Amino acid sequence: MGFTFSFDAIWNNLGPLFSGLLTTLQITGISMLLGLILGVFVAIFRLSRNFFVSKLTAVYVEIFRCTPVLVQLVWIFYCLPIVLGVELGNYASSIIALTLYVGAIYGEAFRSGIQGIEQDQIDAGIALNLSAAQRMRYIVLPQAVRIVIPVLLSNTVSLFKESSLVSTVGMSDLMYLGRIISASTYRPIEILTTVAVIYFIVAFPVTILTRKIEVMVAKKLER
Amino acid sequence: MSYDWDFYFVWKNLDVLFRGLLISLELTGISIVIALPLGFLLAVLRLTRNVFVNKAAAAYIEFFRCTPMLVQIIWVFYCLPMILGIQIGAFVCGVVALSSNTIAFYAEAFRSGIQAIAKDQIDAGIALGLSPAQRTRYIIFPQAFRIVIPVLLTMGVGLFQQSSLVSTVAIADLMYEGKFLATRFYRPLEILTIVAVIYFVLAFPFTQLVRILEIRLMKKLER
Repeated sequence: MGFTFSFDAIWNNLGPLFSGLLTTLQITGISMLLGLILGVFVAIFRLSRNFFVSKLTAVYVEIFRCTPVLVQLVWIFYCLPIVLGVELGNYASSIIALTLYVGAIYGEAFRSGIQGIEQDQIDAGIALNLSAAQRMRYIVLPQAVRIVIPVLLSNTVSLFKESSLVSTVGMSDLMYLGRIISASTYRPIEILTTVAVIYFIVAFPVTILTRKIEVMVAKKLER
Repeated sequence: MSYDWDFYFVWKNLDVLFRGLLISLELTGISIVIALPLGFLLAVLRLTRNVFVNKAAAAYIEFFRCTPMLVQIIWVFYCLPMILGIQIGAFVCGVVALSSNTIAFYAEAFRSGIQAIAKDQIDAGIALGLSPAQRTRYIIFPQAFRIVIPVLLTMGVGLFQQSSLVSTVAIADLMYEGKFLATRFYRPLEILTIVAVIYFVLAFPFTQLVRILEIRLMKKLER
């Protein structure tokens, strides 16, 4: 084996890889924020007493949970413009796909959180003459969010990892730049390993944090 | 909307999609078969008292859980042949990447299963004069396996979806054939929709099965 590891190849390309990481973080961040908003509505609609609304939301959730994210992204990139009759760039397609995906996942997390709240709490809200919207806003959601924070965090780590798929529709994220640079420098081992390490450095602390919060939440619930 | 749906090309090329599907299923099946025993072994290593062994196992698990599957696939595809100095077929690369990833996830599942087994059970094994290997084989494995079946199934469905990523390294799976046909006939809407439907039809029943198994398991544990 005549392979020599070249640290120069890594050092010289850290700049572009870092700019790729920024794109990755930006796409993850925007999809996360939009996904959180979508997720709250998904959970509320899913638990609605209106049979039609609840079933329709369930269909949306199941479609996005039971098909590969890559298929969702490619479908939105190639097919949504045909369906809507408008131009969608790869940036918009990426955001739409990841938001719809993570919105379904967050929605399920919020739903389990809302269902975990005791009926007494809601009865107390009714006794205090709060409207349904006020009960949701002041009693249910603040508690549900606290319970599901660990789940949301681990879902967000998944979103961060899934965001690497946008490289397949030509977004110059960390994965895309890693592939381009490793091909142009003939240094795949150094570059692709660095790419993996960068993803790891971002994702690992969040999973540790998630575990700490999980333990904290579990202790609080025991009290 | 004035789009004329035309499924003619889909029907004419169903055999191509079917062949792709078989590759997807083969990749998933082989990876699961490899990951089941190795995932259990890794879980046992993760729980040994030897600090070096359990830290090494933890490092493996965390690295595969905190980096994107796509990065792992591309790393194996480009770097592994260089490091080993041999030619490796694309399909084998796909199996190596998918199973290495699944081993890490299965190991975490088995670990939680093993930790859920009551200490009495192991003490009973010691009292019966069983060796550590016998206790693992006859007491720990059968019970841990039963507890984690729903989790393993969910991860199996996840693996089936993630297997679509091998299309990016030119393995002719369902996703690859779908994209190929979509660009060849300029009919992305019909073909990619069918591809999504195929993934959904295969994944959805398993998610329902998982739900049923989970409820049954809960009832058993409550008793």
